[in-house]
Amino acid sequence: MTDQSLAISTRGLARNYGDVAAVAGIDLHVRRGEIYGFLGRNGAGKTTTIRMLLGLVKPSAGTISLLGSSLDDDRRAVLSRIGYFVESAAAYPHLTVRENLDIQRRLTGSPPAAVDRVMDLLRLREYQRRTASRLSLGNRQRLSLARALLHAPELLVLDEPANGLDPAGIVEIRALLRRLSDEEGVTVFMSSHLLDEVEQLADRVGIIHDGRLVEEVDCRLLPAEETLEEHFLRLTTEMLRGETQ
Amino acid sequence: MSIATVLGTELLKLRRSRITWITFAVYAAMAAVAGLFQWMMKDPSAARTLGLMGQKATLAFGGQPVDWPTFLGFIVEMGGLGGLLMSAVIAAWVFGREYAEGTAKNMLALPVPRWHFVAAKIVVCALWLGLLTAWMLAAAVIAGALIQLPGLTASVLASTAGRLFGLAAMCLACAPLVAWVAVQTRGYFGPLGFAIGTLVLASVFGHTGWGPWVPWSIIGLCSGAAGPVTGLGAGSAAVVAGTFVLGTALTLGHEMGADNAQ
Repeated sequence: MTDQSLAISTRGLARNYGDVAAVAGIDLHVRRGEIYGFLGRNGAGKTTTIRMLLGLVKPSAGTISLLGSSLDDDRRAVLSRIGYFVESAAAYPHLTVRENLDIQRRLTGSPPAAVDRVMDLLRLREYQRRTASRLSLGNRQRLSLARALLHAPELLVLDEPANGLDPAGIVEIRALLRRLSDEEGVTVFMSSHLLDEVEQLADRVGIIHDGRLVEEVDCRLLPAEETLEEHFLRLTTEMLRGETQ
Repeated sequence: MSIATVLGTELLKLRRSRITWITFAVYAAMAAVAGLFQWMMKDPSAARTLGLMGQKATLAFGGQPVDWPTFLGFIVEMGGLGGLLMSAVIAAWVFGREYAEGTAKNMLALPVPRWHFVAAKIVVCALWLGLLTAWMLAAAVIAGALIQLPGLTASVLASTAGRLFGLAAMCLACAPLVAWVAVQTRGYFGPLGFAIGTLVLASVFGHTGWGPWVPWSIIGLCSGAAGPVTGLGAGSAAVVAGTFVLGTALTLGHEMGADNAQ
């Protein structure tokens, strides 16, 4: 499998904070067009990994290849093909939904029509003149997703995309991500604590524990008697027990 | 991605923000207060009747001429120390808000050279402070005209404008250090605390022989707040320019490095 066939490829990716290894050498291989769930308990290293992928945190060791290129070689070209959403749904609070998206549009060199396209996609049009500070958490989440999708990226890196969404919103976003993957070949790399959602959406999941990728699971091959949530809890609990013994 | 595009988005971020209007209101209030003092000096009996002129005010204002040069001298003093604080507020807001509002991580992962953001933000600070200075001068002219001060000449006005904009440029030169504190501390409080500290330094060193070598004191000295301007030369100009270079380099260094988002 060449790097060109992978949307994300990391080798020995590590990040230390002093003596603490937040990420301890992980090898990720996410194929183009697939939806990959990145799971782990709090503090397992998910967000640090995502930040390293986006160039927001410098790795202590290892290499990253995104869409066949390295951020170090051509940061701007690589980032222009990636949509992302890190941790919280952040927006300029006193600007309207449309203005927030317009800033993103200008900075990614997208056409003006892109703003209307993503507002329709995320059902934000009715809120377009509302300032971000007056949006519900769910709609702020939609705004962040709209921002991530605005420049029609080939790779979406999403940290807890369903956070704050109501059940209908979660189903809607799931359908949207599935459609983007199936019809437009967009690769989705997402972390989430909603394991039921991940099980329904992801093609594969990687489980990170204590900074290490401890297992990769093909969701279609999960045994019928065990859900992803049960599998995840069993695995991570066993590992925690092993650490304490 | 041109820097003009980034500058356009930085200007868009100012839209509907209350802080812009607050800064203009503060500068207008400063001109109004200076005008009020001049009116009190011009007509002390009326001021006394209204209860504005106490014994201390009589002693403080007594003996000073009541004319445009004196009034505009007050404005220049206010523009110096007020500008120092205001430039810090502006820099803290323009740079610190990206961290306080959680948008820094979005901004820094965009396919845009990070130095574009730093440069555009400094330009926004310059434009903002420049407009504020012009606004303060206009407000002062209106206030002075309302109280019918004597002695307005084109040269007095031109000299005041030159000194005010010169002080604004010096205040702007100190702003990148505030910006660096804002991005280091990831918010507003650090840079505002730093700005208050610089005002204290300006005051302390302004009364010592080191004043011409401390950037914030230089601004106070240039404004005339510590008396007639003396002892300032090319060395002081180099200190101010060096402060700008140092602050800009530190801010750029922080934003260009990877480990800098929330």
